[in-house]
Amino acid sequence: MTRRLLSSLLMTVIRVIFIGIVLGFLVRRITSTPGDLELGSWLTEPWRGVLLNRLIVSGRVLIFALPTILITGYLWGIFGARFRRLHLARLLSLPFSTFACVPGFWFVILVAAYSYFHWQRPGFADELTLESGPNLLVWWHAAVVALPAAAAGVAWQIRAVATHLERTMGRPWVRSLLLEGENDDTIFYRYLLRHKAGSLISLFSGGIPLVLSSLIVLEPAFHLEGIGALLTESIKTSSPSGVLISAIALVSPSILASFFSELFPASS
Amino acid sequence: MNRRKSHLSLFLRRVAIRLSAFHRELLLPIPYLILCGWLFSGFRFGSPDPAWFDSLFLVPERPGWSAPDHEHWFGTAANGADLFEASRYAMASSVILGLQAISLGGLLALLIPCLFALRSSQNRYRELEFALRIVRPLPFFLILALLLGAWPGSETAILGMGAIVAVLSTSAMTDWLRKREESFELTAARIVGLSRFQILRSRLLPTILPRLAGALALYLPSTILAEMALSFLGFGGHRASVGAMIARGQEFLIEAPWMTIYPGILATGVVMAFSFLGWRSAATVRTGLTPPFS
Repeated sequence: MTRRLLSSLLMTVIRVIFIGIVLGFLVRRITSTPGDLELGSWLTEPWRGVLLNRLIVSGRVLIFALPTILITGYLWGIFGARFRRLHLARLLSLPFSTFACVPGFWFVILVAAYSYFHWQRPGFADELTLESGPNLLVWWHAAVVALPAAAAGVAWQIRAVATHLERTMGRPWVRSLLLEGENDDTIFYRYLLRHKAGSLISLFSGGIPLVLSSLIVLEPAFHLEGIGALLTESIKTSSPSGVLISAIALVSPSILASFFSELFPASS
Repeated sequence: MNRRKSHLSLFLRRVAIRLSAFHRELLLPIPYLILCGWLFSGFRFGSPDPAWFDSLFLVPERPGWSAPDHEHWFGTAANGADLFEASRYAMASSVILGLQAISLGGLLALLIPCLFALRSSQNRYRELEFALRIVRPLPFFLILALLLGAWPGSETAILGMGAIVAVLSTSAMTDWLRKREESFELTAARIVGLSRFQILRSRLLPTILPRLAGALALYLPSTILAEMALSFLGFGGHRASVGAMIARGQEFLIEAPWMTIYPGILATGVVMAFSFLGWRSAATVRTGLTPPFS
Protein backbone atom coordinates (compact mmCIF):
# COMPACT_ATOMS: atom_id res chain seq x y z
CA MET A 1 0.00 0.00 0.00
CA THR A 2 2.84 2.40 0.90
CA ARG A 3 4.56 1.57 -2.35
CA ARG A 4 1.38 2.24 -4.29
CA LEU A 5 0.85 5.52 -2.45
CA LEU A 6 4.38 6.65 -3.26
CA SER A 7 4.03 5.62 -6.89
CA SER A 8 0.70 7.45 -7.13
CA LEU A 9 2.20 10.56 -5.52
CA LEU A 10 5.13 10.49 -7.93
CA MET A 11 2.81 10.15 -10.92
CA THR A 12 0.71 13.06 -9.67
CA VAL A 13 3.78 15.26 -9.23
CA ILE A 14 4.98 14.43 -12.76
CA ARG A 15 1.48 15.07 -14.11
CA VAL A 16 1.33 18.47 -12.35
CA ILE A 17 4.76 19.44 -13.73
CA PHE A 18 3.75 18.31 -17.22
CA ILE A 19 0.45 20.19 -17.22
CA GLY A 20 2.20 23.24 -15.72
CA ILE A 21 4.69 23.34 -18.60
CA VAL A 22 1.95 22.81 -21.22
CA LEU A 23 -0.35 25.44 -19.67
CA GLY A 24 2.45 27.96 -19.26
CA PHE A 25 3.49 27.57 -22.88
CA LEU A 26 -0.06 27.80 -24.24
CA VAL A 27 -1.07 30.73 -22.01
CA ARG A 28 1.99 32.67 -23.12
CA ARG A 29 1.07 32.03 -26.72
CA ILE A 30 -2.64 32.91 -26.23
CA THR A 31 -1.82 36.26 -24.58
CA SER A 32 0.40 37.23 -27.52
CA THR A 33 -2.59 36.99 -29.90
CA PRO A 34 -5.02 39.98 -29.98
CA GLY A 35 -8.25 39.31 -28.09
CA ASP A 36 -11.82 40.49 -28.40
CA LEU A 37 -12.07 43.40 -25.96
CA GLU A 38 -15.87 43.59 -26.12
CA LEU A 39 -16.10 40.30 -24.27
CA GLY A 40 -13.79 41.40 -21.48
CA SER A 41 -16.32 43.25 -19.31
CA TRP A 42 -16.07 40.68 -16.51
CA LEU A 43 -12.38 41.43 -16.15
CA THR A 44 -13.20 44.53 -14.11
CA GLU A 45 -14.75 42.43 -11.34
CA PRO A 46 -12.54 41.25 -8.45
CA TRP A 47 -10.95 37.90 -9.34
CA ARG A 48 -11.72 36.05 -6.16
CA GLY A 49 -15.46 36.75 -6.43
CA VAL A 50 -15.55 35.82 -10.11
CA LEU A 51 -13.79 32.53 -9.52
CA LEU A 52 -15.94 31.62 -6.53
CA ASN A 53 -19.18 32.36 -8.38
CA ARG A 54 -18.05 30.38 -11.40
CA LEU A 55 -16.95 27.44 -9.28
CA ILE A 56 -20.33 27.38 -7.55
CA VAL A 57 -22.18 27.36 -10.88
CA SER A 58 -20.01 24.56 -12.31
CA GLY A 59 -20.14 22.74 -8.97
CA ARG A 60 -23.92 22.49 -9.25
CA VAL A 61 -23.54 20.81 -12.64
CA LEU A 62 -20.96 18.41 -11.24
CA ILE A 63 -23.23 17.60 -8.28
CA PHE A 64 -25.74 16.24 -10.79
CA ALA A 65 -23.34 14.73 -13.32
CA LEU A 66 -20.74 12.88 -11.24
CA PRO A 67 -23.06 10.93 -8.90
CA THR A 68 -25.20 10.04 -11.95
CA ILE A 69 -22.15 8.59 -13.70
CA LEU A 70 -20.89 6.71 -10.66
CA ILE A 71 -24.19 5.37 -9.30
CA THR A 72 -25.74 4.45 -12.64
CA GLY A 73 -22.44 3.27 -14.10
CA TYR A 74 -21.51 0.95 -11.26
CA LEU A 75 -24.98 -0.43 -10.48
CA TRP A 76 -25.95 -1.06 -14.08
CA GLY A 77 -22.48 -2.28 -14.95
CA ILE A 78 -22.57 -4.91 -12.18
CA PHE A 79 -26.13 -5.83 -13.12
CA GLY A 80 -25.11 -6.10 -16.78
CA ALA A 81 -22.15 -8.34 -15.95
CA ARG A 82 -24.34 -10.60 -13.82
CA PHE A 83 -26.71 -11.17 -16.75
CA ARG A 84 -23.97 -11.23 -19.35
CA ARG A 85 -25.68 -13.97 -21.34
CA LEU A 86 -28.47 -11.51 -22.19
CA HIS A 87 -25.90 -8.85 -23.24
CA LEU A 88 -27.54 -6.62 -20.65
CA ALA A 89 -24.57 -4.25 -20.28
CA ARG A 90 -24.77 -3.38 -23.97
CA LEU A 91 -28.53 -2.88 -23.78
CA LEU A 92 -28.32 -0.74 -20.64
CA SER A 93 -25.55 1.46 -22.01
CA LEU A 94 -27.14 1.81 -25.45
CA PRO A 95 -29.49 4.74 -24.59
CA PHE A 96 -26.60 6.67 -23.05
CA SER A 97 -24.21 5.84 -25.91
CA THR A 98 -26.84 6.95 -28.40
CA PHE A 99 -27.50 10.15 -26.47
CA ALA A 100 -23.74 10.82 -26.43
CA CYS A 101 -23.92 11.03 -30.25
CA VAL A 102 -26.16 14.10 -29.98
CA PRO A 103 -24.05 17.29 -30.03
CA GLY A 104 -24.50 18.49 -26.44
CA PHE A 105 -24.41 22.20 -27.31
CA TRP A 106 -27.28 21.73 -29.77
CA PHE A 107 -29.32 19.78 -27.22
CA VAL A 108 -29.01 22.44 -24.49
CA ILE A 109 -29.94 25.21 -26.94
CA LEU A 110 -33.07 23.27 -27.89
CA VAL A 111 -34.03 22.71 -24.24
CA ALA A 112 -33.41 26.38 -23.41
CA ALA A 113 -35.47 27.60 -26.35
CA TYR A 114 -38.28 25.16 -25.65
CA SER A 115 -38.50 26.05 -21.97
CA TYR A 116 -38.31 29.76 -22.71
CA PHE A 117 -41.21 29.62 -25.18
CA HIS A 118 -43.40 27.17 -23.30
CA TRP A 119 -42.83 28.03 -19.64
CA GLN A 120 -41.75 31.66 -20.12
CA ARG A 121 -39.13 31.22 -17.43
CA PRO A 122 -36.13 28.89 -17.41
CA GLY A 123 -33.53 28.44 -20.11
CA PHE A 124 -32.11 31.62 -21.58
CA ALA A 125 -34.34 33.80 -19.33
CA ASP A 126 -31.31 35.39 -17.68
CA GLU A 127 -33.07 38.67 -16.99
CA LEU A 128 -35.64 37.10 -14.66
CA THR A 129 -34.91 37.47 -10.95
CA LEU A 130 -36.41 35.49 -8.14
CA GLU A 131 -38.46 37.50 -5.67
CA SER A 132 -39.42 34.85 -3.11
CA GLY A 133 -38.99 31.16 -2.34
CA PRO A 134 -36.08 28.80 -3.03
CA ASN A 135 -34.13 29.46 -6.23
CA LEU A 136 -34.91 26.27 -8.09
CA LEU A 137 -34.09 27.92 -11.39
CA VAL A 138 -30.33 27.54 -10.87
CA TRP A 139 -30.74 23.84 -10.19
CA TRP A 140 -32.85 23.46 -13.32
CA HIS A 141 -30.08 25.16 -15.33
CA ALA A 142 -27.49 22.86 -13.79
CA ALA A 143 -29.61 19.77 -14.54
CA VAL A 144 -30.03 20.71 -18.20
CA VAL A 145 -26.26 21.02 -18.64
CA ALA A 146 -25.51 17.94 -16.54
CA LEU A 147 -27.71 15.64 -18.64
CA PRO A 148 -25.66 15.68 -21.88
CA ALA A 149 -22.44 16.07 -19.87
CA ALA A 150 -23.06 12.80 -18.05
CA ALA A 151 -24.36 10.72 -20.98
CA ALA A 152 -21.01 9.63 -22.42
CA GLY A 153 -19.58 9.09 -18.94
CA VAL A 154 -22.45 6.83 -17.88
CA ALA A 155 -22.22 4.78 -21.09
CA TRP A 156 -18.47 4.35 -20.66
CA GLN A 157 -18.76 3.48 -16.97
CA ILE A 158 -21.42 0.80 -17.51
CA ARG A 159 -19.40 -0.88 -20.25
CA ALA A 160 -16.09 -0.56 -18.39
CA VAL A 161 -17.44 -2.08 -15.15
CA ALA A 162 -19.29 -4.86 -16.98
CA THR A 163 -16.36 -5.69 -19.27
CA HIS A 164 -13.95 -5.84 -16.36
CA LEU A 165 -16.17 -8.29 -14.46
CA GLU A 166 -17.00 -10.35 -17.55
CA ARG A 167 -13.31 -10.82 -18.37
CA THR A 168 -12.65 -12.09 -14.85
CA MET A 169 -15.48 -14.62 -15.16
CA GLY A 170 -13.46 -16.59 -17.70
CA ARG A 171 -10.53 -17.03 -15.31
CA PRO A 172 -9.62 -20.57 -14.13
CA TRP A 173 -10.37 -19.87 -10.45
CA VAL A 174 -13.92 -18.83 -11.31
CA ARG A 175 -14.41 -21.95 -13.42
CA SER A 176 -13.05 -24.12 -10.65
CA LEU A 177 -15.64 -22.64 -8.27
CA LEU A 178 -18.33 -23.57 -10.77
CA LEU A 179 -17.00 -27.12 -10.95
CA GLU A 180 -17.04 -27.32 -7.17
CA GLY A 181 -20.80 -26.83 -7.33
CA GLU A 182 -21.18 -23.18 -6.32
CA ASN A 183 -24.09 -21.44 -8.01
CA ASP A 184 -23.77 -18.39 -10.27
CA ASP A 185 -25.10 -15.89 -7.72
CA THR A 186 -22.70 -17.00 -4.99
CA ILE A 187 -19.72 -16.93 -7.35
CA PHE A 188 -20.62 -13.50 -8.66
CA TYR A 189 -21.61 -11.68 -5.48
CA ARG A 190 -19.53 -13.44 -2.85
CA TYR A 191 -16.28 -14.17 -4.68
CA LEU A 192 -16.02 -12.14 -7.85
CA LEU A 193 -17.22 -8.77 -6.57
CA ARG A 194 -15.16 -9.02 -3.39
CA HIS A 195 -12.09 -10.11 -5.28
CA LYS A 196 -12.41 -7.37 -7.89
CA ALA A 197 -13.63 -4.54 -5.63
CA GLY A 198 -10.28 -2.73 -5.63
CA SER A 199 -9.79 -2.75 -9.36
CA LEU A 200 -13.44 -1.80 -9.88
CA ILE A 201 -12.98 1.27 -7.68
CA SER A 202 -9.98 2.28 -9.79
CA LEU A 203 -12.37 2.73 -12.73
CA PHE A 204 -14.20 5.65 -11.09
CA SER A 205 -11.90 8.31 -12.51
CA GLY A 206 -12.56 7.45 -16.18
CA GLY A 207 -15.71 9.53 -16.63
CA ILE A 208 -14.46 12.67 -14.87
CA PRO A 209 -12.35 14.11 -17.74
CA LEU A 210 -15.32 13.57 -20.07
CA VAL A 211 -17.61 15.67 -17.84
CA LEU A 212 -15.02 18.41 -17.37
CA SER A 213 -14.37 18.58 -21.11
CA SER A 214 -18.06 18.85 -21.88
CA LEU A 215 -18.44 21.77 -19.43
CA ILE A 216 -16.25 23.86 -21.76
CA VAL A 217 -18.82 23.50 -24.56
CA LEU A 218 -22.11 23.19 -22.71
CA GLU A 219 -21.82 26.15 -20.35
CA PRO A 220 -21.31 28.78 -23.06
CA ALA A 221 -24.08 27.14 -25.13
CA PHE A 222 -26.55 27.47 -22.25
CA HIS A 223 -25.27 30.95 -21.24
CA LEU A 224 -24.34 29.42 -17.89
CA GLU A 225 -21.55 31.40 -16.27
CA GLY A 226 -19.43 28.57 -14.97
CA ILE A 227 -15.76 27.72 -15.12
CA GLY A 228 -16.02 26.26 -18.65
CA ALA A 229 -17.55 29.51 -19.92
CA LEU A 230 -14.78 31.42 -18.13
CA LEU A 231 -12.18 29.45 -20.09
CA THR A 232 -13.74 30.18 -23.49
CA GLU A 233 -14.26 33.87 -22.62
CA SER A 234 -10.66 34.13 -21.39
CA ILE A 235 -9.28 32.54 -24.57
CA LYS A 236 -11.34 34.96 -26.70
CA THR A 237 -10.24 37.97 -24.65
CA SER A 238 -6.62 36.72 -24.43
CA SER A 239 -6.74 37.02 -20.65
CA PRO A 240 -3.77 35.11 -19.16
CA SER A 241 -5.11 34.97 -15.62
CA GLY A 242 -8.55 33.83 -16.78
CA VAL A 243 -7.12 31.06 -18.95
CA LEU A 244 -4.73 29.92 -16.27
CA ILE A 245 -7.24 29.89 -13.40
CA SER A 246 -10.01 28.21 -15.37
CA ALA A 247 -7.63 25.63 -16.85
CA ILE A 248 -6.24 24.79 -13.42
CA ALA A 249 -9.77 24.53 -12.02
CA LEU A 250 -10.74 22.14 -14.83
CA VAL A 251 -7.61 20.00 -14.69
CA SER A 252 -7.35 19.65 -10.89
CA PRO A 253 -10.37 17.35 -10.36
CA SER A 254 -9.15 14.85 -12.95
CA ILE A 255 -5.60 14.85 -11.57
CA LEU A 256 -6.98 14.36 -8.07
CA ALA A 257 -9.31 11.58 -9.24
CA SER A 258 -6.49 9.77 -11.05
CA PHE A 259 -4.35 10.05 -7.89
CA PHE A 260 -7.04 8.28 -5.85
CA SER A 261 -7.75 5.71 -8.56
CA GLU A 262 -4.07 4.78 -8.73
CA LEU A 263 -4.15 3.88 -5.05
CA PHE A 264 -6.19 0.84 -6.01
CA PRO A 265 -4.88 -2.09 -8.08
CA ALA A 266 -5.17 -1.24 -11.75
CA SER A 267 -7.76 -2.86 -13.95
CA SER A 268 -6.31 -3.96 -17.28
CA MET B 1 -12.39 -40.62 -62.42
CA ASN B 2 -9.96 -39.63 -59.73
CA ARG B 3 -8.40 -36.50 -61.23
CA ARG B 4 -6.26 -34.16 -59.19
CA LYS B 5 -7.66 -30.65 -58.96
CA SER B 6 -5.81 -27.88 -60.78
CA HIS B 7 -3.73 -25.31 -58.97
CA LEU B 8 -6.17 -22.60 -60.02
CA SER B 9 -9.18 -24.33 -58.49
CA LEU B 10 -7.24 -25.01 -55.29
CA PHE B 11 -6.19 -21.36 -55.17
CA LEU B 12 -9.77 -20.18 -55.78
CA ARG B 13 -11.03 -22.49 -53.06
CA ARG B 14 -8.44 -21.15 -50.62
CA VAL B 15 -9.45 -17.58 -51.48
CA ALA B 16 -13.13 -18.43 -51.00
CA ILE B 17 -12.41 -20.00 -47.59
CA ARG B 18 -10.35 -16.98 -46.57
CA LEU B 19 -13.08 -14.58 -47.72
CA SER B 20 -15.79 -16.48 -45.88
CA ALA B 21 -13.68 -16.31 -42.72
CA PHE B 22 -13.50 -12.53 -43.06
CA HIS B 23 -17.01 -11.93 -44.40
CA ARG B 24 -17.89 -9.66 -41.48
CA GLU B 25 -14.83 -7.49 -41.98
CA LEU B 26 -15.45 -7.38 -45.72
CA LEU B 27 -19.08 -6.34 -45.33
CA LEU B 28 -18.32 -3.47 -42.96
CA PRO B 29 -16.77 -1.06 -45.50
CA ILE B 30 -19.97 -1.15 -47.60
CA PRO B 31 -22.11 0.99 -45.23
CA TYR B 32 -19.10 3.29 -44.75
CA LEU B 33 -18.84 3.75 -48.52
CA ILE B 34 -22.58 4.40 -48.84
CA LEU B 35 -22.56 6.96 -46.01
CA CYS B 36 -19.45 8.78 -47.25
CA GLY B 37 -20.67 8.61 -50.86
CA TRP B 38 -23.92 10.32 -49.92
CA LEU B 39 -22.14 12.86 -47.73
CA PHE B 40 -19.42 13.78 -50.21
CA SER B 41 -21.46 13.76 -53.43
CA GLY B 42 -20.96 17.21 -54.94
CA PHE B 43 -18.37 18.12 -52.29
CA ARG B 44 -15.57 20.36 -53.51
CA PHE B 45 -12.27 19.41 -51.89
CA GLY B 46 -9.99 22.24 -50.82
CA SER B 47 -10.88 25.31 -48.78
CA PRO B 48 -14.59 26.19 -49.07
CA ASP B 49 -15.66 29.72 -49.96
CA PRO B 50 -16.07 31.67 -46.66
CA ALA B 51 -18.28 34.27 -48.35
CA TRP B 52 -20.77 31.57 -49.34
CA PHE B 53 -21.01 30.35 -45.72
CA ASP B 54 -21.39 33.91 -44.36
CA SER B 55 -24.13 34.73 -46.84
CA LEU B 56 -26.33 32.01 -45.29
CA PHE B 57 -26.62 34.09 -42.13
CA LEU B 58 -26.44 37.68 -43.44
CA VAL B 59 -30.01 38.88 -43.16
CA PRO B 60 -31.03 41.34 -45.87
CA GLU B 61 -33.96 43.77 -45.49
CA ARG B 62 -36.30 41.16 -46.90
CA PRO B 63 -34.92 37.80 -45.69
CA GLY B 64 -35.19 34.95 -48.17
CA TRP B 65 -35.69 32.26 -45.57
CA SER B 66 -38.66 29.93 -45.59
CA ALA B 67 -39.83 27.10 -43.33
CA PRO B 68 -39.21 23.42 -44.31
CA ASP B 69 -41.51 22.09 -47.03
CA HIS B 70 -41.53 19.32 -49.66
CA GLU B 71 -39.05 21.14 -51.86
CA HIS B 72 -36.65 22.24 -49.12
CA TRP B 73 -36.60 19.59 -46.38
CA PHE B 74 -34.62 21.76 -43.97
CA GLY B 75 -36.05 25.08 -45.14
CA THR B 76 -33.96 27.86 -46.62
CA ALA B 77 -31.31 30.19 -45.17
CA ALA B 78 -31.33 34.00 -45.04
CA ASN B 79 -30.14 34.26 -48.65
CA GLY B 80 -32.71 31.72 -49.86
CA ALA B 81 -30.20 28.85 -50.24
CA ASP B 82 -31.33 25.29 -49.52
CA LEU B 83 -30.38 24.54 -45.90
CA PHE B 84 -30.23 20.77 -46.41
CA GLU B 85 -27.49 21.07 -49.02
CA ALA B 86 -25.66 23.65 -46.90
CA SER B 87 -25.87 21.38 -43.82
CA ARG B 88 -24.69 18.38 -45.84
CA TYR B 89 -21.75 20.37 -47.13
CA ALA B 90 -20.87 21.60 -43.63
CA MET B 91 -21.19 18.06 -42.26
CA ALA B 92 -18.93 16.71 -45.01
CA SER B 93 -16.38 19.38 -44.07
CA SER B 94 -16.49 18.24 -40.42
CA VAL B 95 -16.15 14.58 -41.43
CA ILE B 96 -13.18 15.39 -43.70
CA LEU B 97 -11.43 17.10 -40.81
CA GLY B 98 -12.22 14.17 -38.53
CA LEU B 99 -10.84 11.72 -41.11
CA GLN B 100 -7.65 13.75 -41.47
CA ALA B 101 -7.18 13.77 -37.70
CA ILE B 102 -7.86 10.03 -37.51
CA SER B 103 -5.36 9.33 -40.29
CA LEU B 104 -2.67 11.37 -38.56
CA GLY B 105 -3.43 9.77 -35.19
CA GLY B 106 -3.43 6.28 -36.72
CA LEU B 107 -0.09 6.88 -38.39
CA LEU B 108 1.49 8.07 -35.16
CA ALA B 109 -0.11 5.22 -33.22
CA LEU B 110 1.39 2.76 -35.68
CA LEU B 111 4.82 4.33 -35.77
CA ILE B 112 5.52 4.99 -32.07
CA PRO B 113 4.74 1.54 -30.57
CA CYS B 114 6.49 -0.16 -33.52
CA LEU B 115 9.68 1.76 -32.75
CA PHE B 116 9.46 0.57 -29.16
CA ALA B 117 8.68 -2.97 -30.35
CA LEU B 118 12.04 -3.08 -32.17
CA ARG B 119 13.93 -2.70 -28.89
CA SER B 120 15.62 -5.82 -27.64
CA SER B 121 15.12 -5.29 -23.88
CA GLN B 122 12.55 -7.31 -21.93
CA ASN B 123 10.43 -4.33 -20.77
CA ARG B 124 10.48 -2.60 -24.11
CA TYR B 125 7.17 -0.73 -23.66
CA ARG B 126 7.80 0.51 -20.10
CA GLU B 127 8.76 4.12 -20.95
CA LEU B 128 5.91 4.45 -23.43
CA GLU B 129 3.37 3.15 -20.94
CA PHE B 130 4.72 5.51 -18.30
CA ALA B 131 4.34 8.51 -20.64
CA LEU B 132 0.81 7.45 -21.56
CA ARG B 133 -0.13 7.05 -17.90
CA ILE B 134 0.81 10.68 -17.32
CA VAL B 135 -1.19 12.05 -20.22
CA ARG B 136 -4.30 9.84 -20.28
CA PRO B 137 -6.29 11.23 -17.31
CA LEU B 138 -6.19 14.83 -18.59
CA PRO B 139 -9.33 16.43 -20.08
CA PHE B 140 -8.27 16.43 -23.74
CA PHE B 141 -10.84 18.93 -24.93
CA LEU B 142 -9.33 21.55 -22.63
CA ILE B 143 -5.92 21.10 -24.26
CA LEU B 144 -7.59 21.23 -27.68
CA ALA B 145 -9.41 24.48 -26.86
CA LEU B 146 -6.18 26.04 -25.56
CA LEU B 147 -4.26 24.89 -28.64
CA LEU B 148 -6.82 26.44 -30.94
CA GLY B 149 -6.86 29.58 -28.84
CA ALA B 150 -3.11 29.84 -29.34
CA TRP B 151 -3.02 28.88 -33.03
CA PRO B 152 -6.48 29.23 -34.60
CA GLY B 153 -7.10 27.30 -37.81
CA SER B 154 -7.98 23.93 -39.29
CA GLU B 155 -4.39 22.71 -39.28
CA THR B 156 -4.13 23.09 -35.50
CA ALA B 157 -7.45 21.28 -35.08
CA ILE B 158 -6.20 18.38 -37.21
CA LEU B 159 -2.86 18.24 -35.40
CA GLY B 160 -4.45 18.52 -31.94
CA MET B 161 -7.15 15.93 -32.55
CA GLY B 162 -4.63 13.69 -34.32
CA ALA B 163 -2.36 13.85 -31.29
CA ILE B 164 -5.25 12.95 -28.97
CA VAL B 165 -6.26 10.02 -31.20
CA ALA B 166 -2.59 8.98 -31.25
CA VAL B 167 -2.43 8.97 -27.43
CA LEU B 168 -5.60 6.86 -27.14
CA SER B 169 -4.66 4.47 -29.97
CA THR B 170 -1.05 4.12 -28.83
CA SER B 171 -2.33 3.12 -25.43
CA ALA B 172 -4.45 0.37 -27.00
CA MET B 173 -1.67 -0.65 -29.40
CA THR B 174 0.86 -1.02 -26.60
CA ASP B 175 -1.57 -3.19 -24.68
CA TRP B 176 -2.19 -5.46 -27.67
CA LEU B 177 1.52 -5.71 -28.50
CA ARG B 178 2.44 -6.55 -24.92
CA LYS B 179 -0.21 -9.29 -24.75
CA ARG B 180 0.89 -10.68 -28.12
CA GLU B 181 4.53 -10.76 -26.98
CA GLU B 182 3.49 -13.16 -24.21
CA SER B 183 1.87 -15.61 -26.66
CA PHE B 184 3.30 -19.05 -27.51
CA GLU B 185 3.80 -18.12 -31.17
CA LEU B 186 6.07 -15.20 -30.28
CA THR B 187 8.08 -17.31 -27.84
CA ALA B 188 8.55 -19.87 -30.61
CA ALA B 189 9.60 -17.14 -33.05
CA ARG B 190 12.22 -15.93 -30.58
CA ILE B 191 13.53 -19.46 -30.03
CA VAL B 192 13.75 -20.05 -33.79
CA GLY B 193 15.94 -16.95 -33.94
CA LEU B 194 13.87 -14.42 -35.85
CA SER B 195 15.08 -10.84 -35.54
CA ARG B 196 12.94 -8.17 -33.86
CA PHE B 197 12.15 -6.66 -37.26
CA GLN B 198 11.03 -10.03 -38.65
CA ILE B 199 8.90 -10.66 -35.57
CA LEU B 200 7.32 -7.24 -35.91
CA ARG B 201 6.68 -7.58 -39.63
CA SER B 202 5.44 -11.16 -39.80
CA ARG B 203 4.08 -11.91 -36.32
CA LEU B 204 2.94 -8.70 -34.64
CA LEU B 205 1.68 -6.32 -37.33
CA PRO B 206 -0.64 -8.73 -39.22
CA THR B 207 -2.69 -9.28 -36.06
CA ILE B 208 -2.49 -5.72 -34.74
CA LEU B 209 -3.29 -3.70 -37.88
CA PRO B 210 -6.98 -4.74 -38.24
CA ARG B 211 -7.47 -3.92 -34.56
CA LEU B 212 -5.97 -0.48 -35.05
CA ALA B 213 -8.42 0.13 -37.90
CA GLY B 214 -11.27 -0.87 -35.55
CA ALA B 215 -10.00 1.48 -32.85
CA LEU B 216 -9.78 4.37 -35.31
CA ALA B 217 -13.33 3.67 -36.48
CA LEU B 218 -14.37 3.95 -32.83
CA TYR B 219 -12.65 7.33 -32.43
CA LEU B 220 -13.98 8.89 -35.65
CA PRO B 221 -17.38 10.04 -34.26
CA SER B 222 -15.62 11.58 -31.24
CA THR B 223 -13.36 13.64 -33.51
CA ILE B 224 -16.36 14.79 -35.56
CA LEU B 225 -18.16 15.84 -32.36
CA ALA B 226 -15.03 17.60 -31.08
CA GLU B 227 -14.64 19.49 -34.37
CA MET B 228 -18.28 20.62 -34.26
CA ALA B 229 -17.91 21.72 -30.64
CA LEU B 230 -14.78 23.75 -31.44
CA SER B 231 -16.52 25.41 -34.38
CA PHE B 232 -19.52 26.16 -32.17
CA LEU B 233 -17.24 27.92 -29.68
CA GLY B 234 -15.64 29.91 -32.50
CA PHE B 235 -12.23 28.21 -32.35
CA GLY B 236 -12.61 26.35 -35.63
CA GLY B 237 -11.41 29.16 -37.89
CA HIS B 238 -13.38 30.42 -40.85
CA ARG B 239 -14.70 27.10 -42.09
CA ALA B 240 -18.11 25.68 -42.97
CA SER B 241 -19.12 23.43 -40.07
CA VAL B 242 -22.37 22.32 -38.49
CA GLY B 243 -21.13 23.69 -35.14
CA ALA B 244 -20.66 27.13 -36.65
CA MET B 245 -24.08 26.85 -38.37
CA ILE B 246 -25.79 26.13 -35.04
CA ALA B 247 -23.87 28.93 -33.28
CA ARG B 248 -24.85 31.47 -35.90
CA GLY B 249 -28.34 30.08 -36.40
CA GLN B 250 -29.26 30.53 -32.74
CA GLU B 251 -29.32 34.30 -33.32
CA PHE B 252 -32.49 33.66 -35.36
CA LEU B 253 -34.05 31.15 -33.00
CA ILE B 254 -37.32 33.09 -32.86
CA GLU B 255 -37.65 34.13 -36.51
CA ALA B 256 -36.18 31.04 -38.20
CA PRO B 257 -35.77 28.16 -35.70
CA TRP B 258 -35.12 25.64 -38.50
CA MET B 259 -31.71 27.22 -39.05
CA THR B 260 -30.60 25.81 -35.67
CA ILE B 261 -32.76 22.71 -35.32
CA TYR B 262 -32.31 20.94 -38.67
CA PRO B 263 -28.50 21.12 -39.02
CA GLY B 264 -28.36 19.60 -35.53
CA ILE B 265 -30.65 16.75 -36.57
CA LEU B 266 -28.42 15.98 -39.57
CA ALA B 267 -25.29 16.12 -37.40
CA THR B 268 -26.86 13.78 -34.85
CA GLY B 269 -27.86 11.31 -37.58
CA VAL B 270 -24.43 11.26 -39.21
CA VAL B 271 -22.54 10.96 -35.89
CA MET B 272 -24.90 8.19 -34.81
CA ALA B 273 -24.34 6.30 -38.07
CA PHE B 274 -20.56 6.58 -37.72
CA SER B 275 -20.80 5.56 -34.06
CA PHE B 276 -22.83 2.42 -34.73
CA LEU B 277 -20.47 1.45 -37.55
CA GLY B 278 -17.48 2.20 -35.31
CA TRP B 279 -18.81 0.05 -32.44
CA ARG B 280 -19.53 -2.76 -34.90
CA SER B 281 -16.06 -2.47 -36.46
CA ALA B 282 -14.35 -2.42 -33.06
CA ALA B 283 -16.31 -5.48 -31.94
CA THR B 284 -15.68 -7.38 -35.19
CA VAL B 285 -11.90 -7.05 -35.06
CA ARG B 286 -11.94 -7.65 -31.27
CA THR B 287 -10.28 -4.44 -30.14
CA GLY B 288 -11.45 -4.99 -26.56
CA LEU B 289 -12.04 -1.23 -26.24
CA THR B 290 -15.01 0.16 -24.36
CA PRO B 291 -17.45 2.24 -26.41
CA PRO B 292 -18.45 5.02 -26.79
CA PHE B 293 -15.09 6.66 -26.21
CA SER B 294 -12.89 3.86 -24.96
